[in-house]
Amino acid sequence: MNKKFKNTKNPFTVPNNYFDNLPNNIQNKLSKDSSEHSILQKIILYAKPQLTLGFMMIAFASITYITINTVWNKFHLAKHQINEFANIDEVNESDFSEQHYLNILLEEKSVTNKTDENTEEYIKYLVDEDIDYSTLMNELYYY
Amino acid sequence: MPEYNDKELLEFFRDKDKKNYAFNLIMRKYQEKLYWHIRKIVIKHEDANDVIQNTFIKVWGNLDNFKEESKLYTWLYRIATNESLSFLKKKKTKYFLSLVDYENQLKETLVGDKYFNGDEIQLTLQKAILTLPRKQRIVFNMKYFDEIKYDDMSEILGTSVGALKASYHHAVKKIEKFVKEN
Repeated sequence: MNKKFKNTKNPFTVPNNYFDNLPNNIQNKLSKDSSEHSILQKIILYAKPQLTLGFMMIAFASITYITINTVWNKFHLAKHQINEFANIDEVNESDFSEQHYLNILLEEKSVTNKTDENTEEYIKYLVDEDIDYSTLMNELYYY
Repeated sequence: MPEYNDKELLEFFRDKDKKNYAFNLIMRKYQEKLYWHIRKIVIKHEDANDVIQNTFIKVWGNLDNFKEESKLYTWLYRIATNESLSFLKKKKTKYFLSLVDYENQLKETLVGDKYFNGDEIQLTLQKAILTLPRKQRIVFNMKYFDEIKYDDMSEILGTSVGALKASYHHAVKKIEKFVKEN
């Protein structure tokens, strides 16, 4: 180690009478801490049964609330699902209702009726013109 | 003030009627040594004052459990060292600084510190010490200023004597280099 540092004194200092007062300061701090601690302990000791009861009530209320909420949600969900199925059923029922079939049949009938009207016109024409079967076949053949 | 050895002081402390008196005697016996040890780690007097008070509060709370497996003074030094290191850690976290940055700040505060009255050489030495890693700094201070034996230091810091010797050697080399460069 460098020679110039040999026997270097402590360069730090403290305020006057610092070490005379330090033990008292620490003792004061300790008694203050312990009195604060004991006041807190007394409060806790006094309030312990009330606090316990309070916590129990809060816990009970929380559990009840959670349970009711869960059950209500399940019930609500189930009801909602039943309504949804009912709606689906209604939609399906309307899709295949009697009216629906009737409409389809009526549409088909109107198409058939149109075909029947044309046939009748052709027959009337053949009768009016006195065209027999063999003539008709010959005509169709040449045509 | 009567002079009692550590064994007697501990016996007094275990006696319910003499507990406060014994603690007062322990404080008066060791306060200066512990204060200077702490001061060399945390540097500022205000911080050292906080740490020494916390150290003795811890001692008060734990002295009943002291099993005398080690010497009382090494046990006290260990508490003081741990308190000082946690104090530095808290400061570092509080100001979002790395420990190196915080120790650089301390170097600057030394210059204007009203409780530092070292000359230019002492200031250079302190600045050099503050460049060392934390543990090396503690080892250097304990050996160089307090002249604590390696065996006791080993008990205090929980490090082997060989490692402490090596650490001190490295610290001296670094300080010599710093002084040459500055």
